[in-house]
Amino acid sequence: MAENKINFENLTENMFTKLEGFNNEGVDIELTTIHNEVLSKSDGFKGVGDSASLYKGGIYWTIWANGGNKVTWPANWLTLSVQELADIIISKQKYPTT
Amino acid sequence: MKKILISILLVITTFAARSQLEVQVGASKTELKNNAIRLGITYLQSLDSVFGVEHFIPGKKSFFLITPELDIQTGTEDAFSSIVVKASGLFSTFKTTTVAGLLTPDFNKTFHVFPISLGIESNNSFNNINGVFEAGWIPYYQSYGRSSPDWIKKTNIGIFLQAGYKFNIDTAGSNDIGGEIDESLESIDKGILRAKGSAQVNTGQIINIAGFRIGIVGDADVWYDLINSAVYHKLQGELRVFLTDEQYLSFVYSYGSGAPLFNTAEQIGVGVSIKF
Repeated sequence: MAENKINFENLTENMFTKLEGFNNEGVDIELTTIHNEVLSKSDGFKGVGDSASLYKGGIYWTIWANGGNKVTWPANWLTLSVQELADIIISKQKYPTT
Repeated sequence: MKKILISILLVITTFAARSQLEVQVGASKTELKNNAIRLGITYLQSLDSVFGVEHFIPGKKSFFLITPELDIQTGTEDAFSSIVVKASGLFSTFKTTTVAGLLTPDFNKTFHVFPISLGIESNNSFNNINGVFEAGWIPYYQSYGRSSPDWIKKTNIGIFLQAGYKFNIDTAGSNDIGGEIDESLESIDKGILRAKGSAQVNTGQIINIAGFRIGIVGDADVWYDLINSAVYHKLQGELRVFLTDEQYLSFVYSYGSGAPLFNTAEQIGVGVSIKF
């Protein structure tokens, strides 16, 4: 099994960076930030490229590219905080035994 | 038509608890000066949140997302009408960077979004139905992690190619007026091929007056009908008065209806938008 580089610290740092990119309201980005304070499923252009979908795609790709296990996010993930969503993702990661 | 709308609303209600639903209701003054009710329903849903189906496909410096979409703009009498139902996907390509030791998409550099969709577009009488495949390109340069001017981040541009077929529907007994008239040159039982350019400015909640936040949205769509060498347009200006972050009053002026009728009439409306 390839090395899974994902841990809580580097995952949340990446979530912070992605959220800052969509942060048009100047919200303070921290572990307790609720995703829908920054993201929306209806702010895309012509119904495409909304911030929520792009953020999700970006974090999914980050996990995949670094050996992580793909985790289906809960339907209400936009109402979760950064910490709550990161906890769910990390809880479903598998790491090679040495 | 009423039975179809009721059925659609029942389906939407079923999924509303799991999905994001935006409803816009308002009154419009159409070109024929008839009072009309403009009902717009935008329904957004994430495929995997409802059906539990995998919808993310990663690639080298790219990913593909799949989402269905239902968009209804309709009303009584001769108000503009269109119904769009489609399965859509979003393909994105990007440069990468390293954050906290992890390789990740660099959304602070311009990346590219290529939407594709397959679906139907119709008017509310269902006597104009087109099957349409659409592919497009939208550059994403609006990241707030960039040092570019803020006004640029409030704009969007995109170009699209649409191909499809205009179905022959029995229109006996129908009497379209005003905004319901099909003014396109697209022929029934013939193919459709259009190029489309779109641009938008959305200021967000830019002004605060007496506690109310106000924003402006300007939309411009231009189609070139490649088969009939015709040009269609839809221009829309909207003033939004935000009651909360999720609710706003809108004052809308539209010139042109867009697909499928490409009616060139004007419409003025007032509405309320609420997100659930």
